[in-house]
Amino acid sequence: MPERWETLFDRAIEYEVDEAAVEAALAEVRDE
Amino acid sequence: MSEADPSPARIVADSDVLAADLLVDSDARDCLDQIRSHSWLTLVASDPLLDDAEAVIGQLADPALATDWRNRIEELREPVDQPAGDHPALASALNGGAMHVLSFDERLTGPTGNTMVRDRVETAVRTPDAFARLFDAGKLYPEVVGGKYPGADRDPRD
Repeated sequence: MPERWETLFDRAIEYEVDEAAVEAALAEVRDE
Repeated sequence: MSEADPSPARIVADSDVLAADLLVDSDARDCLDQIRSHSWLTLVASDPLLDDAEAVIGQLADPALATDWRNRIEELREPVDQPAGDHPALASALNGGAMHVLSFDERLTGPTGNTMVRDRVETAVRTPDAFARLFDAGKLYPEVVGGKYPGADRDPRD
């Protein structure tokens, strides 16, 4: 049984990620 | 996984938007909440699109969260094929009949990008904040489903 979205969001908070970091990480992933 | 007829109820979120939905409480989450809240909206995604988002989540958070996110998103998305080498979001829209693509990529969301995209796909590429401003489930419901909009029919946090 997959975790609830709410639980996943709660777990993600601690990483304090912003949109710029997401964009940079995806550019890196797609360049590989 | 055959090509679907284009529909405004079929939506692609690029890998950056999917990762931002999980990792950043922002417009991306507002957009995905629309899909999670309405059973008649469909999130279309190829495996490579989800692979990229999972890699981003694993890199910025941790692999366990990325795996659990993948298990959850697999239940939400409708899978579509993707030819090797195609852009994951555009290929998902083309093969999945999605008339909305959400992306942070300015090469796709700008006028030039949208013109290039429309040459191939009957779709509009928007940033999540633009989509959140424009998208109205209540207005779309009579066209897609028919009848009076009954409101959300799913818990977006479930």
